[in-house]
Amino acid sequence: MAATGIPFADYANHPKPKRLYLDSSFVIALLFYELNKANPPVLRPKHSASFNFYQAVLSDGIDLTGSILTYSEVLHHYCFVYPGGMFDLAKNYCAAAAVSGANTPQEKFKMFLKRDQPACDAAWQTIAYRVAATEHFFSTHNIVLRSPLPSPLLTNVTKDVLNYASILKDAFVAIEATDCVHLSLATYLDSDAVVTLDLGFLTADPFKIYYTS
Amino acid sequence: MPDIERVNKVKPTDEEDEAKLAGLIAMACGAFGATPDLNDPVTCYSGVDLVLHCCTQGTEGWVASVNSAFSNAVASRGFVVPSGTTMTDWTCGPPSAFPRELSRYVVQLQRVNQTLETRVEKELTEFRMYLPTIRKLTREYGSAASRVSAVLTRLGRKYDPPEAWKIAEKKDALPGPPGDEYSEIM
Repeated sequence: MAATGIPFADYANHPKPKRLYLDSSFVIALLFYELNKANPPVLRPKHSASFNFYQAVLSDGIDLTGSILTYSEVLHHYCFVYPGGMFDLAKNYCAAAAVSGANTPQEKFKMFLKRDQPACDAAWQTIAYRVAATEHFFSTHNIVLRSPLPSPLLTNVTKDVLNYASILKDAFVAIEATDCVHLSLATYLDSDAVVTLDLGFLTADPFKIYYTS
Repeated sequence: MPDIERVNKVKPTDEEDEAKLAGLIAMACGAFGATPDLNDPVTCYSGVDLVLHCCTQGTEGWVASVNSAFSNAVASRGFVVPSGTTMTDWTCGPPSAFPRELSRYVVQLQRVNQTLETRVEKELTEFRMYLPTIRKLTREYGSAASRVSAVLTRLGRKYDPPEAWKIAEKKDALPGPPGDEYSEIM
């Protein structure tokens, strides 16, 4: 059994969810759209599709929710992976300082931080506005960040969330581990559907997944 | 009569005493047709004092004390006069029944009264030694609060999400499609 997958284009033909959990891949695409909407050639179809889907669910009054994991992944992508982020700054540093032995962006960043912490701090300060900008983005897009709260039946809710994620990972091997945490969080946050751009989610039964390819 | 201001600062904490006191006062004040607020230590204390005052003077003394000064004292002690009851009705209640019925509680009431007074004195004595420290902490708190407020104002000026978003739109809008190295976000 696979998930109930609903393409963005078919959104109107299915019953509306009450609460929609936003996977970080969808939010990252939405953020990309908002930053570059003035320059359409930069945008890919998935960015525009994500924005159109967002507008549709927003106009239907659907409760848009994310988790701290959503927030941290979006923040990481914007501050590190997005052009001009820390990975680019680290790459520039390693090239200028002729640093060898660092191949991946992560290794270059670690090297930057280890070899010249003041310069690394200074580089961070040049893009630190991205943290507040991310917060502003979530706030103005009505995406509420929630955490599963303990209840009498869930005395150790964090453990339960992770236990369920590990069960999902065991049952659906195609899904990445962090995506299993997203699905588990979506369940514990009482979401009836998940929106993502990651097609691996589509293997997870019995979730309802909104997606675009 | 102990100082109401002082009594107000000390709420009975012993549940047994409090329950006993509440029962006695409710019973005593019922004869007045008055309704004490049993959750209010000032009113409770006033209730004890009032009942003692009446009981220890006996029937004749109690009737004799029904004058305007006493009525005002009763009213000022926090009792709620039932609606439709005039002060005259209230103060001229059942004079013969009230003291006799309650005389057996006098000793208990006096004990409770004494306990309360002792507690007030003890609390005040213990409190006084902490007063200089409290004053010092209050001054330090006031000073620290103003410093924290200044820091927060400065931080707030720097940390402005709407302003940050304007910067982001200006600096992070891409001039053209990003290269393959950004495939993760594309």
